[in-house]
Amino acid sequence: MAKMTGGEAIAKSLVREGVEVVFGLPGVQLYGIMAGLRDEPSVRFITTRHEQATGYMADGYARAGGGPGFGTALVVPGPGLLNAAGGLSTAYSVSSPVFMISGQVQRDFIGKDVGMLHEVNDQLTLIEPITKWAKRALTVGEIPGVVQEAVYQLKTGRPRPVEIEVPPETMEEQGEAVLLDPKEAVRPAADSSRIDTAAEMLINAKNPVIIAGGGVMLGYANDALLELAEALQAGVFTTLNGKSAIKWSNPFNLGMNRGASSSTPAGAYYAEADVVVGVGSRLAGLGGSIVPGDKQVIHIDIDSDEIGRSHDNTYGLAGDAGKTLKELASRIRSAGSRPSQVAKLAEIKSTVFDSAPGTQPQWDILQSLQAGTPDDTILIPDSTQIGYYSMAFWKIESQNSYLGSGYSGNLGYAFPTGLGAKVAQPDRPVVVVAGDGGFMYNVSEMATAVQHGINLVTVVFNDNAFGNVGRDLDIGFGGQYGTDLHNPDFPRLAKSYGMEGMQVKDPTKVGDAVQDAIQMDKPVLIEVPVDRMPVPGFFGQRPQAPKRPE
Amino acid sequence: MAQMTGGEALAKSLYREGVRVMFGLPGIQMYGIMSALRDEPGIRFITTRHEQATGYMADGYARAGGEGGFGTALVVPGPGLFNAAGALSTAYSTSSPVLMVSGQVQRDFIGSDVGMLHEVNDQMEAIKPVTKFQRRALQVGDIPQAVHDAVLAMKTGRPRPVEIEIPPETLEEWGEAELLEASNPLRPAAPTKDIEKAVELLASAKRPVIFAGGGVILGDAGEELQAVAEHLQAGVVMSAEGKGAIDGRHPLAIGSALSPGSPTVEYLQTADVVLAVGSRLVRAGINPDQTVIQLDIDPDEIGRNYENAHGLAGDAAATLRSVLDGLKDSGGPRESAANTIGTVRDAADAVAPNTQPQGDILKSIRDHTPDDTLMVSGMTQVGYYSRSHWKTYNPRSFFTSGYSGNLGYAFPTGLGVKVAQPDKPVVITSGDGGFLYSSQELATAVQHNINAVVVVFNDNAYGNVSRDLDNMWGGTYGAELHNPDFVEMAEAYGVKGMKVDEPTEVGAAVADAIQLDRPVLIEVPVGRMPQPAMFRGSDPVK
Repeated sequence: MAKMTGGEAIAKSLVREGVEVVFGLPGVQLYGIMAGLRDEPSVRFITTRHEQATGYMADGYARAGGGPGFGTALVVPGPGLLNAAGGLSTAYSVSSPVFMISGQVQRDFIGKDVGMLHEVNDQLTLIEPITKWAKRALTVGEIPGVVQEAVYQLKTGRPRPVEIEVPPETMEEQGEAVLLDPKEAVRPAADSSRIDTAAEMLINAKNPVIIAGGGVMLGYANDALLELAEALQAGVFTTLNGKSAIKWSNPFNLGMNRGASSSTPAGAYYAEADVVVGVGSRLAGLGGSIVPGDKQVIHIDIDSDEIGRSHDNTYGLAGDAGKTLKELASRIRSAGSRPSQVAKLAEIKSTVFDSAPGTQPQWDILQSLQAGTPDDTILIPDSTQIGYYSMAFWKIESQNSYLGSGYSGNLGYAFPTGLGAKVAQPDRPVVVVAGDGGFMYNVSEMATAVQHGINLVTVVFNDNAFGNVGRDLDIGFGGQYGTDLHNPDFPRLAKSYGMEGMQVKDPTKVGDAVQDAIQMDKPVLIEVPVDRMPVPGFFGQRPQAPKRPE
Repeated sequence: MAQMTGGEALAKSLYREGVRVMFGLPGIQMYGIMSALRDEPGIRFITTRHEQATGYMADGYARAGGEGGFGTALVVPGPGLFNAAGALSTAYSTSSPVLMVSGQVQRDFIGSDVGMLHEVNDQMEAIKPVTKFQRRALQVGDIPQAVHDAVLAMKTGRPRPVEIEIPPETLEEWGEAELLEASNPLRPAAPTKDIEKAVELLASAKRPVIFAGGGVILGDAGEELQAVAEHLQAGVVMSAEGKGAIDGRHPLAIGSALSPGSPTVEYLQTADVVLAVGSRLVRAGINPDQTVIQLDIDPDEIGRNYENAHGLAGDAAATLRSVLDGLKDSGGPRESAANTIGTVRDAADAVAPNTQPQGDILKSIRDHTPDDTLMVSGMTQVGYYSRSHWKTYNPRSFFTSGYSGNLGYAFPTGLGVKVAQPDKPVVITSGDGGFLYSSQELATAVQHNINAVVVVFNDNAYGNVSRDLDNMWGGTYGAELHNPDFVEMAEAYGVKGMKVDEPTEVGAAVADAIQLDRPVLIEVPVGRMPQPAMFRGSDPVK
């Protein structure tokens, strides 16, 4: 036992858990922890300009492979935590390990509705839908155990945000506390006999196909995925979150899953599959299950609740993706090698981009961006036409290199998430692609980029509109409304913050500017004025106003 | 019954309930309502650059007395609603009537955790702590009733935010719906016997004092309060939220300088009966042995922070009218107390210059701004100080974030205030930290000609935190900030940018800015400011 303040207990516990960076926004209830962090030189504190950025940056940091494998954020209670909740919503949807530390009102007033500063009653309830675990610590002595358990939750099972909350007196007062070492986090493989059964099904399968989701990247299972693909000689389709699961140049990678269809070789290949191995994916898109008909699915997921949620004919393997895939691959290999499908897959793959040039200017812009960025670039695609297009046609050649917003689909998440990714990977280029609408959500964090030397490149495709909504309303609902925007002069705005600001007149030459910007080693904003862009083919049917019934 | 889409049912119902302005940020689940709003020319739609601003603007609009009597916002579900939730937290704490209309995921997927776009399960549960009413409408036919009930909830009892949520198919599809007439609920006075007791206590009081909270403003009970005060010749102390309950220049007005030991609090403590109206009584400094009559529309508030209060649960205006009638029956007006009260007010005002430069800065702005100026006080040193010392002459002309204390609320709230009151000057005080929370709404100000004046006191820090950490915690940390060049930033948006080098002369620039009739940002570089008296007592635990 040692005497320390609650703030010191948190700071020291975080250090023991390997935390190197905290993204936070201080306030009056956080003085104890701020003093504790100040006196802990191994922790870097990055102050943001809005609590939303603490959550987004912690998420980007986590998914880009920062520090101890998770991101840490600190906010004041009530409005501070609510402000960060949007960021947590993305983290929840992409299964990102974010550790949110929130203040509380004074201990004796929690739950009393007296109206203390920043009081929201009850915080733990409002945060529940976007955290997997949350806990309040009221005494100094509880803190090490609560921090230890929070990190254990992040490292076991499905990695989703956790929250702890500590009132100001607990952070400020001295108490007895025993610091703890991290609890060993075991991520077991799925049940061995079930792996046997699944292996049997796959050994007998004629046309197995793999769908790789975000769980592959988050579970560090990229190599194991390749082992299975090679053992099965099966093509791999990726989901949006799974783009970083396998390099584009890998012969088994057939790109983003765009559904079963007789009209494309990739669609036909998927349609012919008799067994679909889904790894770390919900296997669901905006229209429900992405597995057609009643195909046999073998679903590998760390979260047993996900298994079979969207598709009935499912054999579940609940366990760590890497370990489970390796065991599965090894059993399949021991049954003898399967005939090589590499030539067939290469033929299919050669057609995957056939439709890509059909959507312009997205394709030319994306080509230019791809040419202007090195293989180790991390791309953060906001909810914008180029971002959408990149889902299908951006080519990945390195780990943790494509960070989406998952089903949460937060407009504006990309810039602060990119800042967090750059903090995690300062030596890799980080390129954010945003629209004018999305970028403005977190425009203030340009100050954070400058202050903390976070040298990412942000490309703002500016159509002076919430353009996706504007187009859909025009096409499907008889006319746009409320979507035209007045914007700042973006380069001038960037410069007013001390960033580099530039404008590229020809959208299809944007890659050259990005290439230059990456070399500058300072935060750069590139504005690209664009017109309205068409709906990409892979989007499917856009919403249409139903006809008036007769 | 008539055939209409859910979006039309929603837009028409809102119009019937008096909605004339909507603050929103459209998205894919909102196409049905967006096309209906497009076809409803009676409602102005103001698009924001972040969902937080929809909530803040609706709140400012509501509290400034915007048409309809409440503010209305529209957001996408999940992250959109969460983004707005911080603003609802301010509206909840200031008892502001805000109708938040949210989308939902597709009907059949609600609650299934499949992961539909913008899904948060369960968003009604998440929003509960900052709303008094929530309703999900799944059928076109349900919409008019949902809107009606939501507005009724805002208009009855304590006005706090309400939420309704509607999935996209419901907004898009056709169905039978019957539009309803607007709710116009009675706001009843407190029970007669409670009023009789209160009249008895007040009539026999030797030194009655009135404490006016935000409920006087929100209940439009200023005139009634003033009449009771004049009859009793009772001084009127106002909380920050109650500023403007009566004109600050009225002979009975004492003001809001409520720091511990201040002349105002001392005066309050000499009262034998305190009539508190629409206040939580958290900062009043009333002693436990004083008799308190607590008038509040929310019976749960009565006695919460002051156990022995004699409760009057009812509408402030209606109840005060009855109280006045009772007082008149039990005696004529009292002898003028203006002299005594004038002395107290002078002593209270004399404290204003004690904290500098806040005192002089505030005086400079007040001296240069018209009487009908609407002041939105940011979470910044000058804003804090204005709660105590800004002279307020009219109701609905001083705004705070209540106990929620949202850093950054002031600018977007001020924009909503200006939309409600386009002919009155709106001045917003903010720090550099707070202003950047919603700086993107400079674009909204330009696009929608919302000509508010925002003064950014820039100390390149979260200055309150930084000062406290230095003074009490052995050193500041994490509170120093790199800032944009504010003037350049404003100009990049098309907002007029100015800089004032001498903080105590900022008033002249504010006066010029008001004349420009366009959105203006005035940067005022400042040093660290001392802690105001009202915050003292927050020393660290030993």
